[in-house]
Amino acid sequence: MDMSECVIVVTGLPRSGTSMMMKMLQAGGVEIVTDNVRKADEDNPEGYYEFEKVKRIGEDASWLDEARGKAVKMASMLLYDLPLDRTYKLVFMRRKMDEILASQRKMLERKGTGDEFDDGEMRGLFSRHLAEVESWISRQENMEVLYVDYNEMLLDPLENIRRLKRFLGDDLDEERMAGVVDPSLYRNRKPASAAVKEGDETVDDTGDDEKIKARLRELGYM
Amino acid sequence: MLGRVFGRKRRKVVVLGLDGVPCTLLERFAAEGVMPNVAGLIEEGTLCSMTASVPEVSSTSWSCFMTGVNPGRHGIYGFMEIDRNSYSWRFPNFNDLRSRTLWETAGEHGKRSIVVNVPSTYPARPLNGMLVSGFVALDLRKASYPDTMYRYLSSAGYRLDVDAGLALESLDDFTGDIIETFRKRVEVIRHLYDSEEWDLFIAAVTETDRLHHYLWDALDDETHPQHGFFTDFYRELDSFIGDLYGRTGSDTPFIMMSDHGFTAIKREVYLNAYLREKGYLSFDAEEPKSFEVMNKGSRAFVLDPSRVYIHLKGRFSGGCVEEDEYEDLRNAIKEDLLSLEIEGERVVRSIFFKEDLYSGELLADAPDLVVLPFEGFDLKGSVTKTELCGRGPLTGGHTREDAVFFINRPAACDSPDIVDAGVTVLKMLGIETDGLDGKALA
Repeated sequence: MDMSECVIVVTGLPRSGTSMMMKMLQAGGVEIVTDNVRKADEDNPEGYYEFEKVKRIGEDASWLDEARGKAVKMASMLLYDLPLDRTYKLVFMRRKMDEILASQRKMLERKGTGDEFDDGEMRGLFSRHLAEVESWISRQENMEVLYVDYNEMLLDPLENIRRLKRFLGDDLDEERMAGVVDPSLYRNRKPASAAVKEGDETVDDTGDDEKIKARLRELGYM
Repeated sequence: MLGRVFGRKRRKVVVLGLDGVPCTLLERFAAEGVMPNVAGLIEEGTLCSMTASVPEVSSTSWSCFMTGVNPGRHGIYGFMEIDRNSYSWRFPNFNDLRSRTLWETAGEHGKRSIVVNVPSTYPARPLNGMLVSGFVALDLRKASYPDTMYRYLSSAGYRLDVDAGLALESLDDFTGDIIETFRKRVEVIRHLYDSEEWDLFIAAVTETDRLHHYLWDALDDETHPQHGFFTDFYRELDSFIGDLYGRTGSDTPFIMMSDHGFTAIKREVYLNAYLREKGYLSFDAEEPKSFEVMNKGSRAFVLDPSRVYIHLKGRFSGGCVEEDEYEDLRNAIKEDLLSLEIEGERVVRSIFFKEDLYSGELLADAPDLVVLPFEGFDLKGSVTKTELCGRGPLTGGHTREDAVFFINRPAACDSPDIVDAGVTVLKMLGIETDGLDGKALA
């Protein structure tokens, strides 16, 4: 499948790392389709990389003509609406379900709608959806897919970026893409209910840079 | 595999890292009877004074050891960098290391490694074996590979590091924390040594470095309240070394090494304050906290501990120094730094240009000059200091010379460098070392 002829679709469940992947692709040299209507906030400090028209793709997909060779972000629930007369390369983000749920809960709590969120119910819905959509993708002749694990990406960005390059093409700038994998974005990964215990060194790594600075200062640096 | 089937003995190697331990201190404690096991080892094998990396900081030195190549190839020049566009702090970690580690190379040869507490291995990356990261590791789960390692370490109550901040509150609490962390680390090292299959076993003790930073003055001052602790700690370290060597035996190569030496700090010297005084550097804020507020007309700046960067056009988004000004500027800064004196004493012993020290595909990322001080002057890249020199809470600072290299067999002590230690490990494992920067010492 020629990359310049197909649309690159970064997809997955909400909070699965799709924004990070968009930023990585942009850093790697891929043109992205975004309108910046949804601004960066506390939940996605680097921005959302969304394109409003994606949400209405079932009604109007004409913009896809201009998106060939570019990357667009799309929730996996919308994939079914992609027209069959075009070709797509899907980068499908996966992330530990506990982390997705914790991240969503935190985002909804900030918006004041956290009470409506039921972990158990959402887990069931998401799991069923993933099984269905992955099975559906495997039957689509106009789609190629690469599954990228967000957690693995954080642990070993270079290896995962090499997989991406094999999938999307060697022109991607590996080093710049790796630079995007910012540990400080690796947030909200513990369920909100799981309080950090005193003495437990498994702590939320939000603000890693500040902790590193503090540790370095203790040894005379900075 | 065939070797195992036919009972051929596997080649194994043990490396014990002693962070920040000077060779002269080991020799002294061996001679004074504080470290009788080390004394026995010195008689049996070869102890060399080794040269560490430039700069002489743990992140760079350990990266040189663990890759067998210079920073121009592995890419770790220090604990911090600045982003070339935003000038904000950036902290390189294990994922920024651009060369293969000893254990990755060993893994490609089917060898299994156990790696404990080696600095600059955070976050843990997959390997053929098990690893727990060393400084600056923050989260035990992210510091552990595989998950079984995390579960074991959690259940064992493993401590990633000493809480060095305690030294500012209570030296008794600090020394208590050192010994507690050390004993827990030793327990884990012994357990992994005995219970796991391995070909390469690397464990580092970092409590030595923390002790030296805050209590170097206690070493020779018998009236210092922690003088006894200093030597007692080394007695306990010696006991652990003896125990570990007892398990290893003389047939297996047993290497002890450190990543730099240590010396007493007479004065901290703030090189950015000097560059400001000389007109090379200025800030747009009265009390700068980072280089984000560096005036874009600045021509040079320093990152810890003594890395000087020319604010070159094309390299930094706000760079102002033209290519054709570069050489003259480097020479001018070198001359100015060499003339730096504090209370009549010269501060700077030598200055290297980057091409004097480094080579490889990452040379472009290297500091343009690196400064080495005379002993006793602790160079700093602080942006907050406006005075030229001062004193901080640390009493001990790093030296490039006087690092430890020991092996329990004859070795060539011909100006050993820390990259040589890594190459020696691979050679002892029977792995080709062509293409690495170092030479095998044994």
